[in-house]
Amino acid sequence: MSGGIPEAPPVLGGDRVYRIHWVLGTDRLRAVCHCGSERIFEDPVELWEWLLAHPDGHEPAAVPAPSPGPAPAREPAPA
Amino acid sequence: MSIIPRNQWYVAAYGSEIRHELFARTICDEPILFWRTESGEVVANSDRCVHRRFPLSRAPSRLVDGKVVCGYHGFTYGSDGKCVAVPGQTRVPRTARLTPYPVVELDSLVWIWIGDPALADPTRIPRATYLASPDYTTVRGMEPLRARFALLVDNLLDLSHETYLHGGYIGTPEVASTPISTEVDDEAGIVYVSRHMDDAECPPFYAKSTGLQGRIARWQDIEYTPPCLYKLHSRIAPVGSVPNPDGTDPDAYHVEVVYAITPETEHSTHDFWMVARDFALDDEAVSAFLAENNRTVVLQDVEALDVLEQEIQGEPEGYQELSINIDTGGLAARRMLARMAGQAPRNAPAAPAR
Repeated sequence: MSGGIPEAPPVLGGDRVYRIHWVLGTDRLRAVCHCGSERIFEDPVELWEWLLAHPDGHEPAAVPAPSPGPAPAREPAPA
Repeated sequence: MSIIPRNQWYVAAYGSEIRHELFARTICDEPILFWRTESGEVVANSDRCVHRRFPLSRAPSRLVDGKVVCGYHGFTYGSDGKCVAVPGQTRVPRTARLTPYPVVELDSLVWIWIGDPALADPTRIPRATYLASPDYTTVRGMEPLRARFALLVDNLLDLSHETYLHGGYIGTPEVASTPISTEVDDEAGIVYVSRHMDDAECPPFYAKSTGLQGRIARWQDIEYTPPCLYKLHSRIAPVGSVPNPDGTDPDAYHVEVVYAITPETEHSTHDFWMVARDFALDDEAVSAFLAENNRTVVLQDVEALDVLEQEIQGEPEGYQELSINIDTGGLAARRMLARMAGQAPRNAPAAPAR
């Protein structure tokens, strides 16, 4: 095993799940809304304010493109 | 305004606590009387006689032929709470009835519905089947906490405190220093916090119970279903071991640490704790070790939270606390609890109306 810790895979399978990843090796948090919008934060209170403001300020970024190429760094939904 | 969510299921007791005798416990500020009927069913009613409010759990009140007889004037109630006899007259007033509570016994726990009985849906009770499974051995206890239940939720949602408050038991340096991931499902009512330490010191709690020596893979996966049930799926394995794709995990030791966080009053809590394991099932020494050590850990939390409660009660209005990355899951839990209680949460925004 390498020493690196992989980003935890998603566990909850609902349609409205918020995910917050602690960006490895940093002090930052990556918030991922159920709409696909993402943003980096350094304060969990501000993070929750942004997440719960959905859809205000949420841009549906990283919509899976039909074109070939590397997939965005998003996790698949669990079975 | 109350911080206790109503119209919710709470763990009132372990099934083993309720026998064919009167048993009293205050749940969410409501004094409640329990007993197990001759047929084995747990029943719950308000613990005050409708006549002059004498506690029916208090001697000389007693259970006679499946009915509770008030020790003050003899008002007698059936297991459904209906009064069947009053002293000196044959007519029993129609309104003479204790308030019955919906109760479900599940997974070795007695769940009670606090709120409108018409809304009680047993399918909403979160499960912990391993607590009553022959594939696991469980040790358990309950400690009185002189602090509001939300402080215990805060405590359990952020396990980085193990490093400092529980050093020498379950805390090691890696717990506080390993990043977490947090998932929140508002619709299902789940907060899930993962901390996977793939190369960590093995704390005495696990070294002595599993026999693993040296460094370990230690995974902590918290699954909290507000308001009451908290489950910590703890996986202890040799470094490098991961579960198989089919979900089997033969090299790992699994410890399910469960808390039922039940408000007694606005400022006190029933701290039910359980430790279920899938190894050394018949080893009494392991059971005794885990029970004693987990109780010690729980009492360390109780001592700290009792202090915190006093601090909070004495602090000026509007005290502003600080939250950092480790609090991400705890903030989500606070938000859900506040919404359940119909309040705006402290230091965490309320969820939008859906």
